[in-house]
Amino acid sequence: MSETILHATNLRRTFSEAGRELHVLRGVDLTVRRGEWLSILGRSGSGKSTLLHLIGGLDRPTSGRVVFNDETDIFTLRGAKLDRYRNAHVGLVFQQYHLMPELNALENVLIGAMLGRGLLAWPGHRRQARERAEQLLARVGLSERLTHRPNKLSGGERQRVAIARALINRPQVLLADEPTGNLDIDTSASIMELFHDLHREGQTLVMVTHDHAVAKTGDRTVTLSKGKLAGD
Amino acid sequence: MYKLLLISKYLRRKLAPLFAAVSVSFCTAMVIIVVSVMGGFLGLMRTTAKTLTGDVIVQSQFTTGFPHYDDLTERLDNLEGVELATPVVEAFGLMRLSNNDQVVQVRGIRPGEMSRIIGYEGSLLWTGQDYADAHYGDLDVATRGKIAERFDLMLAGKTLTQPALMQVLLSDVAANRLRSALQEDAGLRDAFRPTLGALLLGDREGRLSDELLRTWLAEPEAEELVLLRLRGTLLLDPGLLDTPGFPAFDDAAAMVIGVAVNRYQRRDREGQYHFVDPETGYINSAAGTRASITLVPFSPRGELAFEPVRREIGIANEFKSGFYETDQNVVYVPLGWLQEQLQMQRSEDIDASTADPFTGEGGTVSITPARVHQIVVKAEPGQDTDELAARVRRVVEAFSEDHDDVSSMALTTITWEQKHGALLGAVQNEKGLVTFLFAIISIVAIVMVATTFYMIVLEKTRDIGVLRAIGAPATGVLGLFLTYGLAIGVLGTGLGVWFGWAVVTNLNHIQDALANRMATLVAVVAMAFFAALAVTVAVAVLRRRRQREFSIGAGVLLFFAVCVLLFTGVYYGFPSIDIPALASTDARIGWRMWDPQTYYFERIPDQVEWSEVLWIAVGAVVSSVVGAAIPAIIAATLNPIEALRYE
Repeated sequence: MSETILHATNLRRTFSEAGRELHVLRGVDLTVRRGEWLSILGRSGSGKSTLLHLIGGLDRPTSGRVVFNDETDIFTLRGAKLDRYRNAHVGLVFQQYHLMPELNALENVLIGAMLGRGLLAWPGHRRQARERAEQLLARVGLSERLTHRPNKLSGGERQRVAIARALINRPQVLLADEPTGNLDIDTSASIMELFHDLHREGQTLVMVTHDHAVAKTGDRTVTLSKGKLAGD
Repeated sequence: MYKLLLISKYLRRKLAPLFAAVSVSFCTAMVIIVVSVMGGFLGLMRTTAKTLTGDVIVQSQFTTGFPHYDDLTERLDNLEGVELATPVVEAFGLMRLSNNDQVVQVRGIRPGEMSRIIGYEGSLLWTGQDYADAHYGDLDVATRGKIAERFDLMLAGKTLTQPALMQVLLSDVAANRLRSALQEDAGLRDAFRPTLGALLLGDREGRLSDELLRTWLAEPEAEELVLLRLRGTLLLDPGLLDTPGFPAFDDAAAMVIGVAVNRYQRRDREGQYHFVDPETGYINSAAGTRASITLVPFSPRGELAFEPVRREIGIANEFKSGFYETDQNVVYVPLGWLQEQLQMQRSEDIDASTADPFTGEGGTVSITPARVHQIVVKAEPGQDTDELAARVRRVVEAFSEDHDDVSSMALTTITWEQKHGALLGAVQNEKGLVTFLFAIISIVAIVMVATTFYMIVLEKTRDIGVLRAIGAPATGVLGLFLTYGLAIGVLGTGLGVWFGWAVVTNLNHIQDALANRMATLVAVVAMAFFAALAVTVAVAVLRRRRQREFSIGAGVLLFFAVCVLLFTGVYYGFPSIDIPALASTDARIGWRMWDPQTYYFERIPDQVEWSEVLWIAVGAVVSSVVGAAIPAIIAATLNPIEALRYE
């Protein structure tokens, strides 16, 4: 196993809007090592979310590469393989939680596992996946809330469900985009506590934040400014 | 698997797709109802047209008809695949019935043979008992029974001849013959004495003297009265017919008329005919009475060579073919009788110029063979009509070649379908057009599904983004919405097929209820509907109050279940439901969507053609998927990041 999980080289992302070119990332180089907790600090609009989306395979860069596990540039992956990367190798946590309102907590977690299996393969994995989902929800302190739908959960609880969902397929990297941005101080602290625990258990974490205090909890902080990374 | 999970959740928690399903249901039901009724209508028409016509018809283009038909009939009878062939003479006549003149189509037939071809005997309406009960209701049951026997209208209809009693009673000629027979035959007088004595003197002891009787019979002034009394005698004692010396009457021709030819006949609200009008008490039926027919004979050369002939003829019975056009226009008479009236029978002419001028003998005898207008052919079961027509055509060609005087008659062979082509084609066109129109209307369902799905895609944009973010492929999102459309389609179509089937098979019940008990029906249906609504709302409120979950899907399901339960109760209980307050409203209002008084058939066709339903169902499901396709493509091509940012 390599020390480096993700290696981004010269990432550039330019958006065109109303005929104007908006250079959000202007050549970012970034390395994420196995087991580390990397915080990317930056102001609003500095491009930190864009960087996270690129690493997570949600978006494609204007130029540059992201090599995963020293093997492949994920942007050379086509369709289904890139979907597979997002599903199995990275886990995404968003500021707005992005849970599905029709599904209860358990189903919201399970859906990530379902995505990786076909209709026919699913019954064979159902029990195992369900056990894992229940474990994860218990792990984030929601074992009593399995059948609650998101509208019956508090913000902190929703974020915990979202974290459980991100972890269901045992991703090598957990990508979190301002995970405490919508939460009050106490709840934020408990979420950060959870991240700490996960990190202690060996989970690699990449967290984007605008909050210096939050960023400091990580092993290492990089700052994104004017589309470039400043200092390690 | 996630697709199924999400679809099942979306179906249960969203009202909009259920509306889409309902619109698919109604469109499906609508097309099924239209296709079934129009198809049933066409089917009925075809069956009726075929049963009324025979399978293949050989006909002459000319009013004069064609000769040597016995030869052709025999050849056709011997043709493989032919069950029976029978000649028919067809003419138009002016019929006068109870001071009512009208043009009728007079068909001269051999009733026995015709019956095997068009089921003519089965269409006869009245029995002798109907006649006896209607006309002689004041006589005792036993006597009416005897009259019914003598007036066997069924038999008269089957043979197209009148029974002797009927003839005597109906024609002055026959009654006069009886009168002279009585004057001459002492034995016959003795037989008649008791009944006639009872009639004339109110005494059955035979005290009516022979002399008084003879004087009475010879009374010229009282002719009308004498004939009337003689008829009364026979009516009271039909056994007198068997008396030795009773004048013999030949089988006289009689006709059977279409029941609607008789303008006094009318259908009740259920489309049924009655011998005696149940409302007015008038005798509607003309069976057992007389009518006159005026016919115009044509010479063999097709000239109007003869004076029109007017003939009195008894009406043996009335028939109901089930096809109003026929019932309104056609009368059947015996073939030979009609040939005679139209001068189409075999005749011998002696050319006077070639005869011996002194003795008047010898002259050249020219024979004109009898003629008919058509030969109706019945195919053996399972015989293909077109194929048979082709073989009949070859036989007709050979026949024309063998007879010089036939070749110019331009015989044509047509099938029953060609004969009724205009009418059947019209109905077929109508069905096609209506189906097309309703299919167009069904596009509404597709648009409805498309709109609903577009709204769902907009609402679910963030979910789509999430799904993509956690690894769902674009094709997965496409599949999700297409499968969703399929689920809506299957659900809607299933309901629609059930609803369409329920409506079609109960159309006649529904129309009866609408026509006779509209107010009660509306009241009961409204009550059931609101009761279901009330139950649903009550359950929802109760569950909410107890902080229990109660989804929209559950509500809709509960509402449907209660509706089905209550409507089933209404359906089976309706005949016994009686709301006295609404009885007068029921009597006043009412809507008959299919009036059997004015339509060809009495009942609305109520058969569902399942092969057609299958196509309609497939069409409806495909339409739903097509309706979902564009929104599904939009969903699949959404940029995941933009989708996640969507507010």
